Amino acid sequence: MKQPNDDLQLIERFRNGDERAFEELVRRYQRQVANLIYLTMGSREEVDDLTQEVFIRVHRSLSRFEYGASVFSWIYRIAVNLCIDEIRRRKIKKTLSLEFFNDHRLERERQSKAKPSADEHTLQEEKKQVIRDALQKLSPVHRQVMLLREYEEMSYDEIAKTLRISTQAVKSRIFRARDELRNLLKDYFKERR
Amino acid sequence: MNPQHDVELLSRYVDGEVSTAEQKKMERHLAECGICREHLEQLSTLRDGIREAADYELPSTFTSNLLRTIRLRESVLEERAGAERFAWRVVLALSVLVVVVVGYANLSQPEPLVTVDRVLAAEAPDSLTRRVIEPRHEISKDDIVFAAISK
Repeated sequence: MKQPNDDLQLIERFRNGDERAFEELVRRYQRQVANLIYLTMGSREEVDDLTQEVFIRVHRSLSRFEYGASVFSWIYRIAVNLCIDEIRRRKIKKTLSLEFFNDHRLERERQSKAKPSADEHTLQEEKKQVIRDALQKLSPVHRQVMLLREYEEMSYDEIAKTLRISTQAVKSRIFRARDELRNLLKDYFKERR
Repeated sequence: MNPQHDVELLSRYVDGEVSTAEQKKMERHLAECGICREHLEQLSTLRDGIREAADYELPSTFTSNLLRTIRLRESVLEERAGAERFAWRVVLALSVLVVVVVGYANLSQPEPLVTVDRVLAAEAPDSLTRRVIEPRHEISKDDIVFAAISK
């Protein structure tokens, strides 16, 4: 993952009272955070609110940020902890399949009403949903490493630092997660040939 | 694991997490092995799929809404802190007032008048009684007995 060099400068500016530095930090990472939450939670409904809550916590804790750490890793941990709390709170696991079904169905209905002839687009959306569904079927630890590797493009060392695990554990988890996803997505791969 | 299809190495290869020797080994193997080429293709497809699936777009007003919410929360917290400070000051002032009033009341209370009646009522002569009475006159045991009988 490419870390902008001036993240720490932004934090320094914020600590010196420049609120615009925080705004810049938000603009830099908001999309990544939102998508991590989206793929972690598996539902669009709470993404805006949770992303907002992540940055509120970031704002509140910026004065305590330790300079040795990576800014995004720190933000990511805040996001993950928030998602875990949210999943626990809503006991989302029990109703996950139903939520997905409804979410997906409603989205398809909206799309079919808006663009009745957009078959290609609908197909594309369905493929994305297949991937999102498969990610949801992974264990949380496997999902985490996959998102950090494939979406955030972090190196194994960066993932290890972010998750506070060994590089060996990262290698192993990525390998297992991929293996699991390949099994879950057999049909998907056939269609994409 | 089948050494001919080293899928663990392939997983690291696709991430660029291999040594130069491992990279060469894998490239030689891929040149010959259709199964591993297909596996590699699937890993790339998976990566593209995950990136495409991350298509969530926040509303354009997200940042401004966030900043407004932060300011609002801060002002609420500030107000609450101000109210708490005020409440503590009131409590402190009231406590001081109570201490002053009670202290003043104690100090300004007239010294209890201890008379012979109190002794005659068979009240035990405490140190205060003694302090007040004794300078006036000595009370003998007979006085106390007399007082008890008269009562």
